[in-house]
Amino acid sequence: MEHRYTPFSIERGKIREFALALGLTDSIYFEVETAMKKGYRDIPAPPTFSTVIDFWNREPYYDFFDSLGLDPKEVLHGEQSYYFFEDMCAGDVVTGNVRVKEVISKKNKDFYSIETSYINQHHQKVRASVATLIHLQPEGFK
Amino acid sequence: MRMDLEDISAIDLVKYCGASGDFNPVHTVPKEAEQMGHPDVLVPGLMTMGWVARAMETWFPGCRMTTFQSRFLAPVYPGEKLKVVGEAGESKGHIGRCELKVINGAGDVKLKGICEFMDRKETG
Repeated sequence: MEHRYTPFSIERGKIREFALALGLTDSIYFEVETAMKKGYRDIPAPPTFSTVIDFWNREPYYDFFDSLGLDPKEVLHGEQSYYFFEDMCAGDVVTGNVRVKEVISKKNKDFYSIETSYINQHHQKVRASVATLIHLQPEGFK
Repeated sequence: MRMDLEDISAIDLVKYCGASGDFNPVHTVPKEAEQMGHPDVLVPGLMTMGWVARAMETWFPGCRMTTFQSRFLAPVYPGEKLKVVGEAGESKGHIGRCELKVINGAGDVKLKGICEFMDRKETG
């Protein structure tokens, strides 16, 4: 089962909003001159920013949940790994391919391993994500 | 290394959910979270992981992450007082390593993680 994100334009304002929401203070997220002085092409996306590509996409992450028959309310985030290959900066247009690597069922829980590759406008793989999602049957919450 | 975070307020959660676009009702609608067995809206795991990134950027200014991994061990709810604790590991060549934990006031470990990173050279 696979899902493909619509190409997503990374914008300085969205990075600023995301950085402020997390209380990030590094001026590379707010001042393009500082970012460039530190060797970035433009304002860089913070480490966990790919979640914005997932959720603000025109074909968002939860659409993929729908196709898997998963109700987001019944899903917990168990683990998250990010791998960083190239800088991802404002001005980039990034697509993503999401796929289920593996599903393991134990008792009343299903563990989904979800892998996402993020590719920029130059066809470079910029980041990868591996998430473990835990789908609980409703009684699993009690 | 240790970084104390501000108490998590409901409005912090609203800001993060809006910024990230994760409007899962368990993060945004208290009644729906309660129906799922939570005492309050659940703080997204990636919000907690984002605070760990903030601690990393404070402890290792200019670091460039190569891998960043977290296990979310217990739910986090608004009103909790969290701290991020880091322990620098042995560097392998030019790759640094830090083991990370997020712990609440009661001593419950909410997150365990590892970050590997390189120093970024200034070019200007």
